[in-house]
Amino acid sequence: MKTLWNALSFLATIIWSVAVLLWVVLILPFSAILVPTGDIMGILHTGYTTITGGLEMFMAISLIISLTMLVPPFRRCFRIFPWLYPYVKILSVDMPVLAIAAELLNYGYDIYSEERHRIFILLMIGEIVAGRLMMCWYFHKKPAGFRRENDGQ
Amino acid sequence: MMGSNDYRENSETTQADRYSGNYAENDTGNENRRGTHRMQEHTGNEKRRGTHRMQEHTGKSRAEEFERNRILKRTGMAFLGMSIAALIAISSMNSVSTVDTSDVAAEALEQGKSTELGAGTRILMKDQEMPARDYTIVHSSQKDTSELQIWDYAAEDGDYVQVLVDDVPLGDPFMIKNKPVTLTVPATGVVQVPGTRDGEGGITYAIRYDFNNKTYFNGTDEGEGEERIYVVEPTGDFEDDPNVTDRKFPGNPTKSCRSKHPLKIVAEVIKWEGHSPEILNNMLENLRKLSEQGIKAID
Repeated sequence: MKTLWNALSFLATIIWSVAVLLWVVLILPFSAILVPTGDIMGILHTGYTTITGGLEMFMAISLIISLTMLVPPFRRCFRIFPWLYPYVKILSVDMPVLAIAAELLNYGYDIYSEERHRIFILLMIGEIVAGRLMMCWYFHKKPAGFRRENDGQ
Repeated sequence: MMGSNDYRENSETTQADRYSGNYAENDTGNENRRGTHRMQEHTGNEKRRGTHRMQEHTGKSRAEEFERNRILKRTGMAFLGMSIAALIAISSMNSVSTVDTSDVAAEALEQGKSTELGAGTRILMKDQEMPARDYTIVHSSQKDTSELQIWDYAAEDGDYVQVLVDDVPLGDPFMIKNKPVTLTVPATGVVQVPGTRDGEGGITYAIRYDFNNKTYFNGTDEGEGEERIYVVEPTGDFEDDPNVTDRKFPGNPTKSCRSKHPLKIVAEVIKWEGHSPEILNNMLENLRKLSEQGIKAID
C-alpha cells in the first residue's frame, strides 16, 4: 500500500513538473522582467495607457509556486532541482516590483497631462528603487537558498 | 534501532573471537587473550565510532530535510498570501463590466438612448464605429449644475476623450473605462465629447445626466475637436494661393500662401476667433456653386 502510494505520488510529481512547473520555469524570466518592461516602454513611447497583465501573471505564477511548495509530493521538485528554490524566489520577488511599476505608470497615464505623466514617471522610478532596496534587504536577511547545517563552519 | 543492533553484533563478535583464541593457542592463551582483547577493544571502539558518525550524519540529513520542508512550507504560505493579495488588487482595480445582452440593451443601442439602463452599463463586447450623434436635451431642472457620468459602453481598449462645455475643456483628455467618471457640468450649455485617441475599433462612450436620468450612447472619431492653429514660417519659396485669392474670387484679399517646402512651426494660436456660421455657410455655398459650374482648382 505504501509502495503504491509512493509510486502515485512520484507520478503526480512528474506530471506536475512537466505539465505545470516546467512552463512556469520557462516563462518566469519573461513574465518577471520582459513583459512589465515592455509595458512600461510602450506607455512611455505612446503616451497612453496599455493593457498590462503583470499582476494577473504574478497571481497565477505565485499560486502555482505556492502549491508546489505546500503539497508534499510536489515539494520533491525542490529536492530534485536544488536551483529551483532560489530561481523562483528571486524572479517571483522581482516580478511584483516591475508589475506594480507598470500599473502605477498606467494609472498615471489614464489622464493625458504632461505634468501628471512626469509625476507618475518619478513615482514609478521611486517604486522600482524602493522595491529593489527592499529586495536587497530581504535577501540579505533571508538568503534565497536552503541553509545547510555545516555552512559557515 | 540501527545503532543498538550494530552494538550487539559487535559484542557477539567479540565474544566469539575471544572463544576461538582460547581454544586455538592454549599456551599462549593469556597473551593471545590479552592481545585479542586489545584488538577487540580497538575494533569495537572503531566500529562504535563509525556507527555514531553514521547516526550523526543521518541525523543531520533528517534535520536538513526537516528544515528544508519548514522553509518550503513557510515560503509556500507567503506565496499563497501574495497570490491572494494580487487577486484582491486586480479585483479592486478592474472596472470591466459584463455585457448586457437584454432586449432593452439592444433597443438602447439602436436608438442611442435609454431611461432604463443605468450608469456603467456595457452593451457591446467590442468597439464598433458608431456614428457621432447630436442630442438636444430639454429639461426642467431648477439646478444650476448637473452631474454627468461618462463611461465606455464597449471594450476597455484605451479610448481617450475630452469633455468640453461651451468649447471650454473641463479637464485634460482621459481614458474612458466601463466604470463611470463623474463630472459636474452647467445645467445649460453645449457639451462636446471629442475623441482624443482610438484604442481599437472606434471610440464608444455613454453619458448619463442626473437631471433627466437618461443615458445617451454615442460614438466619436479620433482627432475630433483637436483642430489647432499654428504660426508658421516658410523654409523655402512660397506664393499666393490662387485658389483662395482674387484670381479665383475677384475682390478677395490675398491672405493665403502656399509652399512646396516644409513650414516651420514657431507658435500655436491659442485664442482664435473663427468665422461666424453665416460666413462659413456663405463660403461653403460658393464652393458648391463653383463645383456646379465645373470650375476646378487652379494649378
